[in-house]
Amino acid sequence: MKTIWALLGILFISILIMDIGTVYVTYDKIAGVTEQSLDSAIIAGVRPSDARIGETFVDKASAVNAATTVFRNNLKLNAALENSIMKNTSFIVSIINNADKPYVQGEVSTVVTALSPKLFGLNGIPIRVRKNQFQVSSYK
Amino acid sequence: LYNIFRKLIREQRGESILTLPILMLIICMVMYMGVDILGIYSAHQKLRTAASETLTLMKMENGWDSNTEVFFEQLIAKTGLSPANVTVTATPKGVQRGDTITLTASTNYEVRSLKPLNRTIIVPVEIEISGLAQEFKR
Repeated sequence: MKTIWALLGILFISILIMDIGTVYVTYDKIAGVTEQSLDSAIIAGVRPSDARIGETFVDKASAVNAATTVFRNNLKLNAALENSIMKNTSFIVSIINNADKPYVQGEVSTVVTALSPKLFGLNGIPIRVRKNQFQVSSYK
Repeated sequence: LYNIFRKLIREQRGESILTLPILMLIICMVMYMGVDILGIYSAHQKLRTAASETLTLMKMENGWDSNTEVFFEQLIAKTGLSPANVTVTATPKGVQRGDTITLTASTNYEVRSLKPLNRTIIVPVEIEISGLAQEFKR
């Protein structure tokens, strides 16, 4: 009897450790990929002709498009931004075009599929990652 | 809850001389597997760090060439993986600003916890990241 209880306990603990690991790894991955995609948002959004005359304007449509594409490719997501682990994902890119320090902000919220929340009838653990990327312009 | 635990520990029904050895075996196996999972994760992480640093360099220079390869191999060697076991494919130089550049790096991890059973399993570890080239070419 004791052995079976111990086995059950070990199973429970390993599920818990696995879930924490999954959430941590996903968070880490999303943070890195968001940084890369915000970088490409700036590259796609700034026109070279503008940059040459010192203009710091970021075109919203192409920036958001490029960021979403890079984000999707790097995390291998489908068109609805989902894969086997990340469900119900939203990736919001906002461009703050103030005069001296323009920056791009990306906010990812997703639900990580895990085993332990299913005991309570939930689908997964929701996480949210937010990153800012300042536009570096080397115009003098 | 505390009383239930105490009862479980104190209880002697169904106890045999084999209980402790079996428990030890199970705990050892779980811990040994944990070591391997950590090893795979750490190989993954090292590869990802090096690949992401190299991608930043590639974005500035619009692609991959022999200098970038040297840079990548030095980074890999610093993290502790052996550069000979890492295979890389990447977009070569010559793309225009705004084009996608991709870096794929892969290595193999040998599972150690199954060595007592005289069996080797090799787990492939693969990383693929992409970004946009930065330099404008006239």
